[in-house]
Amino acid sequence: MIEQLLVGFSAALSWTNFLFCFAGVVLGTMVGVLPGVGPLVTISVLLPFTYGAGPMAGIIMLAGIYYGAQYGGSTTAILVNMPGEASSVVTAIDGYQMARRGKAGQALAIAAVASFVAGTLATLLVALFGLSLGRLALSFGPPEYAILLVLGICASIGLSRGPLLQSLGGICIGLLLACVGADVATGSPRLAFGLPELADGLGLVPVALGLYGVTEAIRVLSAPAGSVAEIDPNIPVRPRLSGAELRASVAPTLRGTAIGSVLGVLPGGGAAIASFAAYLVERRTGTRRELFGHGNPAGVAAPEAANNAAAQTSFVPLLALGIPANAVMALMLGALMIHGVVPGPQLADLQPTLFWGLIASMWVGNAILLVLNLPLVGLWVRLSRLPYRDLVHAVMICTCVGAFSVNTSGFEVALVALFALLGWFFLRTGIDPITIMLAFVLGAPLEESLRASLTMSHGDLSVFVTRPVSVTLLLLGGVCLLLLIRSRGRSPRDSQT
Amino acid sequence: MEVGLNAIDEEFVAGTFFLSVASLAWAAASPYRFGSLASIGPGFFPLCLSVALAVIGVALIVRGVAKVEPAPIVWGPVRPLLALAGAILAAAWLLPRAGLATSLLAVMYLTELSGLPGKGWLRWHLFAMFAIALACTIFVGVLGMNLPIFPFW
Repeated sequence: MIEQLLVGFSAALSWTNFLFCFAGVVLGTMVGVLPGVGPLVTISVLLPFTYGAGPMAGIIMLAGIYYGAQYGGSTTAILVNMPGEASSVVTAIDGYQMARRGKAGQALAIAAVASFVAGTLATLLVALFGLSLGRLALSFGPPEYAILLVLGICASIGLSRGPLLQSLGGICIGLLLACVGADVATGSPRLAFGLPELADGLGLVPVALGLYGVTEAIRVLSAPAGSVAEIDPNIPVRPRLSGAELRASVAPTLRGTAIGSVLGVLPGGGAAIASFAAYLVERRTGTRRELFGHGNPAGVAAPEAANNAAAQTSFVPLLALGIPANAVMALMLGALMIHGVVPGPQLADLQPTLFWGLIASMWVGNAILLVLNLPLVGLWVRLSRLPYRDLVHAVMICTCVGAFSVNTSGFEVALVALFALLGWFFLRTGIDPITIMLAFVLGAPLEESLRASLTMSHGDLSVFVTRPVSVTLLLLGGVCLLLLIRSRGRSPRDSQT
Repeated sequence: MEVGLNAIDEEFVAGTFFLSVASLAWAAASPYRFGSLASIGPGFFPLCLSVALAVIGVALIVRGVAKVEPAPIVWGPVRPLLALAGAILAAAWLLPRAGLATSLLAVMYLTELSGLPGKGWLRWHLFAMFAIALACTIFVGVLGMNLPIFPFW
């Protein structure tokens, strides 16, 4: 296996492949930073350009865009509380708090290092266990997914800073938002209020931009004058991560990597929950728990490690089984097939150079991300220290253009305004939008899994408790949830019950 | 159990909101087939969710009304909300029609209305030109988006 990995490295480090990897990573980071222009769009646009380059170079570039975007999304999440990707929503919780305390540089550096370590370990895992992990993924059927997703959504209550009832209400609203659009089975446009633009459902971009990015801008601008402290200009722009901070991030990074690696393998929705799950586990087991939500570096390291690990291991079902784990992987599958490569259990045997070259280039891409982004941290921090009256214009410009670019229609932009209004309302009434966001992101796969499970069992609800994996998940998850709810009851809450 | 008009509790407001959303969702989803557990129809989830949301909303309303010391909502200044929402709506209308540069200028003007601390007239306009030029370069030039910069180009 090691010799094969070395062969892969020599292929990955060839001039052409390295250049494509570099281009992909740079493009991916830029794309991740800008909300609205997601890796899915970029990959589909650039796919035709890869035809001439051969399968390996093309896939390498597309893969670079994918995990580059994961990192870029975290940058805006930390700097301006505007998550660029669904997986960065959790990074924003502690990352943005760190930035507000003048530690944006540390947060960005921790995110970069954690992602790199996670990427390295995940690549190793893929190399060693790829095929067996693929077989594990096969034992996950719709009932298991449904349970996993329900647990994930309920666990989001643990992330919420609001009271329990309001969080539950938020979950219902998020799930209702996910129901908007064409029903998967019958195609009838639900909750679309007769608007053709809603027939395909609500996109993540307008919802995230409105509830998070713009609402944060409104919050800062509405705060009484002088209460929003500008960051102390004496804090160095290129802060060194102290040895203690690095050491404190090791355990969260490793935990995040483990969780992300396992969840990323599951086709369907694992990667989306990876960062949330890692953050929650960190909250339960990490040190200095009282700092969570107020700028705990572990709250940045764990989710970043998890989502990067998940991004790497989501290639496993694709390469080993030919099953795409998410929409981006589906595009990769298409790209591979266009190049005449058929992924599946035989890929490693029939095309070892391609298989191992791709795995090796994932590590190379991670290394490039680290080398590229650590020096850029200084630039990002300088940008974030612009007085807010200038920064808010940048936020507004990116918001409007980003939302417009989704469908080249003003409708999504108008939706941002609606969600900004809702976000402001939630701010004033003490409802934390995180439960809405998570429920919205996970709502569609949840509904599909539930429907598939019940169709499989002809309406028999016992299907969720008679399969071994689902029972295990239920027990594990039930215990975790109980612990979570008990710990909420004990910790002091801002709003009285 | 007093319900003072000037001390509307925040849970009461949240509950009312949830109840309204639930009713809206129920109304929008009721035309669709509910189905049964064995054959779930398109209306199943939205209707179940609206019922759950309505229950939560009522619970919050009751809790809000029954409170001895209501926690009134501090709405705060609405100017930033109106300015930013107005800017976004202006962009929604202008972007498909008037080109990138014009729309962004409108967005920046409206954002200023939220009450940002002053900055000289000339300096602000130079800053705005710079920001818009940078935005056009990045979005249209580098990322190749299909957005006309001016209405005619």
